Order: sequence, then C-alpha cells, then structure tokens
Amino acid sequence: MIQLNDVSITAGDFHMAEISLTIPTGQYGVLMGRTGSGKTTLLEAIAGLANVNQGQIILGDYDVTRAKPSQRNLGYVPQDGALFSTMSVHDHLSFALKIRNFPRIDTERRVKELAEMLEITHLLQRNTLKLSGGERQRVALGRALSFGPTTLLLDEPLSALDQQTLEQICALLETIKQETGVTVLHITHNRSEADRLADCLFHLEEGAVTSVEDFSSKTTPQTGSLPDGS
Amino acid sequence: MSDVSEAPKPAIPSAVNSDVPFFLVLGLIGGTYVILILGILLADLAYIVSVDQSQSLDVDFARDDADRRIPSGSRLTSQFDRYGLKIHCEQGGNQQALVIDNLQQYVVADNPAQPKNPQVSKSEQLAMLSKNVLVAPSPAQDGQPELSKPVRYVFSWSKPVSITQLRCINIRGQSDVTVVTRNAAGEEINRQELRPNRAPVQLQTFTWSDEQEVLISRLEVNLPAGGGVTGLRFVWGGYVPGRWEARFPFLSRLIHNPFTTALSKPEIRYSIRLSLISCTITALLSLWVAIPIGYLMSRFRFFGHSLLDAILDIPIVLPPLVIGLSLLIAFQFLPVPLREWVVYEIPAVILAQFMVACAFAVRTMRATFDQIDVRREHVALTLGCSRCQAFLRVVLPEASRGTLTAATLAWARALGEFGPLLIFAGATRNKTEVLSTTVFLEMNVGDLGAAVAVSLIMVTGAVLVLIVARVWGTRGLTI
Repeated sequence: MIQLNDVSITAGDFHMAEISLTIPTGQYGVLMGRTGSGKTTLLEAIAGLANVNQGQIILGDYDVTRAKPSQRNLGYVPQDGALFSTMSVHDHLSFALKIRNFPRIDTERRVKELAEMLEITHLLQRNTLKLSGGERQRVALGRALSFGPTTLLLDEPLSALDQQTLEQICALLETIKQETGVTVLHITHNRSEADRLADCLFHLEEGAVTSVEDFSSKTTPQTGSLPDGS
Repeated sequence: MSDVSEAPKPAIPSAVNSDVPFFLVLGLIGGTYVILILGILLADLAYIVSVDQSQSLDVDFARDDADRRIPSGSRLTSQFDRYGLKIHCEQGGNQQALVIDNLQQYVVADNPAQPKNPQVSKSEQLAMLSKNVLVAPSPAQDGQPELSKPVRYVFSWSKPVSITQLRCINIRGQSDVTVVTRNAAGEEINRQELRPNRAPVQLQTFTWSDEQEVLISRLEVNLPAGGGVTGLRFVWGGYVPGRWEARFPFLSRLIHNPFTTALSKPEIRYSIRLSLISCTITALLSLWVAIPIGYLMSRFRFFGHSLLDAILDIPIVLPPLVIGLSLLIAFQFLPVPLREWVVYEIPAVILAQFMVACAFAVRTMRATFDQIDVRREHVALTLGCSRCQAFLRVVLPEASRGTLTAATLAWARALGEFGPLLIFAGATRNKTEVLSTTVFLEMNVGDLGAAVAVSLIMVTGAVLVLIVARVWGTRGLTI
C-alpha cells in the first residue's frame, strides 16, 4: 500500500500542499501530470529523497515519513534509469543484495531469476554504456526489484522509447505486477500508457491531486495493442 | 546538376561576400599563438641539439676529480681524468710523479730592489697562483721542493683540445723555456722559445694563436731548473670520450648532450628525485582534501556556501610569492620544533606545492561531482545504501576519471611551483632543490645548457601528465 496523507513538500521555490492518495497493495497506480507539475518531487518524497514538511507517508504497514530511503524497502527507477556507469549489468542486479550481505549463492540465483524475467540474461556481463533505451529500462527495473521491495516507484519509464520497445516494456511491467505483487506508482504524462497500465489513476495539477479514477475492477487489457486514448 | 542544353543560370546575387576572410582572420590570430607555443618548445629542443658544449677550462692543479683540495707537497697521479688530461714529468728521461706546490712565497715576495715582472700585475699573479703550480718531482726537503734540475712536463689529452694559454713560472730567472705542441699523430705543430727575462721571478705566457683552430693532443713544456707551470687554460669538448667513440662520432655526439650532462650531476639527479616524490605526495594529499571538499560543495547548499567557494579560490588568484611569504609568516607563530622541521626543509617543499595545487584539485573535483547525476546516488540510497556506502560504492567509482584529472592537474601544478618554494623552502642544493629551482640555479651560475635540459625534463613530465589527463581523465575538466 502506498498512502499519502496531507503531504506537503517544498523543494526550492516549488511548493505542493496537502497531497493525499492511496494505492492499495498490489495495485498499479499511475500519476499523471504536465511537465513541471511536481510529479518527480512527489516521487522523491515517497522515496525519502525530498523533505516532507508535514503529513504522513505510509508504505505497507509502516509510517515511513521520517525514515531513511534505505529503510523504506522500495525500488526506485528514475527517468532514463540513472544506471551506474562503472558497473556491469550483473553488478546492477546484485548491488542491493551485496549491500545487504546476501550469501553469494543466493545472490547469483536471484540475479539469474531476475535476468530471466527481464530477458536480459545475455547482457549480464555487458557494461551499461552501450545498452539501448529498452535494455536500460530493463536493467533499471531489475536493479529496483532485486531486493524484493514492496513498493516500486517508476518515473516516466516509457518516455524515451520507440513504439515497439514501449510495447515490450509495458508487457514487462504487467508481468512484474502479476509475478511480484509489488505496489507500483508510475509517473507519466502519456494518457495511453496510463489507460493501459493503471489500476488507479491520479492527476496532479498545480501542486494538488485533482482527480482520481479507479480501474481496479477492470479486466486485464488485451495484450498486444494499446488503447488509443489521446 | 543542370541540364547541358540549357543556358547556364546566373548565380544568385548574394549580399554576403565570401566567408574566407573571416576564417582567415580567425586562423591567423589563433595560429600565431599556437605557433608561439610550439615554437618555444622547438627552440628548446633545437638548442639542446645544436649547443656547442666546448668550454674554456682553467685547470686547477690543486683540486682533484671530486673537487677536493690537494694539500701542498702532494704527489699527483691522474686526478684530471674528468678533463681527459694526463700530466707527467720527465726528468733525465725518466717519468716521474708530479708534485704540487704553492710557490707563493717565492713569487710574490715584494722586493723593491728587484725589478718586477713587467708582464703581469701582482693581483694577476695571485690569481694564477691560487690555481697552484706544478713543480719538479723530487721529494721535498725541509718542506721545500727540490728545484735544481731542469724538467719537462708532458700534458696529453685523450681527445684533442685547443690550448689558449699556459704560464710558466721561472723562479730563478733562467732562460731556455721551450713549449712544444703536437697533434694527435705526434707531429710537431708549434715550437716556441720563450725569451729570457732578467727578473728573478719570471712569469712567461705561452698563448696559442686563436686565428687558426688547430687541435693538439700533446703539450710539452721544457723548464729550466726551478721552473714551474701554472694557469693552464684550454678549450675542450666538455666530455671525455670513451675508446669506442672515435669510431662512432655520431653516436658519441648523441650520447653527450646537455641532457646527459645534466643527468650526470648528482644535485640534478637529487632534484629530479625530490620533484617526483614531492609532486606525487602533493597530488595524493590534494586528492585527500579535494574529494571531501568537492563533494560537499557540489551536493549540499549550506550557510556560507558562496563565501567558502570564494575562499577556496584564494590560492588560485593570490600571487604565488605571497603564498610563500604568508606560509613563512604563519610558521613564525608555531612552536619552534615544528617550525624547524618544516621551514627550509623538505616538508616546506610539499606544503608550498600543496597550497596551490590543492586549489586546482578542489575545483576539478567539484566540477566532477557536479557532472555526476545525483539520481544515481538517490537510487543507491533506495537500494539500501547509507550515505557513506552510496558515496564509496557509486559516486567515487563514477568520479574516477575526474579524480585522475584532478590528481594529474595537481601534480603538474606542483611540478611548476617555484615562487612559494623559493621563499618558504629555500633553494638549497641537495636539500630543497626541485626541478624549477634547478632551472633557476643553473641559470644563475650561467649553465644555460643544463637549465634548458632540466626545463625539457619538466616539459616532458608535463606533457606526459597532459596525455594521461586527456586519454584517461575527463575531457573538459583540465584547466
């Protein structure tokens, strides 16, 4: 569950007040808004990377408003992935586990498992510099999911992809949702993406969440084609 | 591609004239500077290649190869090896060892009753005698050498030299001084009888004509009883050739250049060593300081941030001499043992280099951290890293190229440091002498060749550093 209760954030000159939203456990939330509407800042606040002035952030069963990013057990995929340029794909997937001092064997198994799910097994030994856009997103997703977080925060993961790759990543996101049961908050400015993926959809305008649409009762959309809402 | 059958179309009338003059002017202005940069480096190189190392040399008979003073009355062996010169004495056909002696008491006795030697002034005599005199080889009696027999001195060089001056002291006033020169084949080139002089102390000068460049390898001086030789001056090639070098003169010339001459000097070798060590320590120290400062300044905004930023630039804008002086003054307030350990000692060299070099390293590290996407660090934090782990595992590896650039930059700065060093560490040979100091000292003693050679060593170091920074460092960060 991702729950924000009257959260207000100040980052530089930017101010957002009394944001409230709730994404139930295992649901796929999409937050829409124009460029500059504060989507990324909100995401950073949830991840613990931006200061929250007041209000409450609840992830799962815990109030994490004052917790450090490392304690929130969430996976964060910033825009463009923000991959580590000095590490191989394998290092990315095993990074969080190494930090947690996982046994080597378990780490290897987990990396293998993840790589298979994300279809990047053939890339494991590659450096990240020459990966394509889709491959970068897969690696970033893998890195965020590697330690089994309860929450996944995606900042415009599909923005710079061509149509075909976008399809694949969309399908992948659906797979992830089904296989891991993670609660997702996905930021985008693209309506068709939102329509396809969202269980619940939020609009962020002028520093406030203005409308909420709930699709959670809908059936899984047909695979292979995007609804052409524009 | 126009159709051939059609008439050629007129060119579009253009308001714009050719762009060529514009680029020509740009190229000319920029090109002048580039040519200047390359020109000064090439000039150094050309000087090294073309410099004539031959020098006029006054042999000091009283000093040995290591420049130690030989006590009066000592027998000489072959202490002039470094000039490729051998001297021996023939007396009655036998070769004998030479004796060095200070004949001052004979020569400069100022007796008004006796006519003075008309050719030389007293001060000149003194100057020459300070170089000491070769005399007959007999063992000394009563502390005075035996001067009763005529002697012949033979000077022979392994590589021909041109002799410009030789002075003969003839204490008892006899005549019959003969000077003979021979070339490498042993042929007689010149024979000169020096005219007798009635003065009790005769100082006679033999001067080889400079009009024609004749090289000789052997000089024989026949002196009457009581004669002595002093003030030998000759022009030589500056080095003693090995046996093989006669066969490979070109190789020989390659090997004997100002570089090797400079490198053969122990004090220059010392300064190279000290420079390398101190610059490396300085670069490491600079990194040690610059990485934390650069990271803090780049990632965090706090009260006094801009002020601190300005303070960090002070060493860059301050005149270097002032930094040295300020260091010196600052150490006046510190405890004496610490001051004595640092000031005018090697730690002062490192500290003076560090003061300036570190500022550049800080700037570079800050730019490096500025360029690293802060979101990578954020991701690391969400992945479970503490701030420290995120810094060590993600940010530092990402900054490795910038770190290398900062280190090389600091190293190069430290190598060129001079002003603060001169004031704060002094310019003592074999102690606080680094390469820049060497250039200064060699210039001061008039050894331009060594100064240029050392300069080129520094140029080489700087170019290597530039290459390292360009190839492995971050582009665009080098200042």
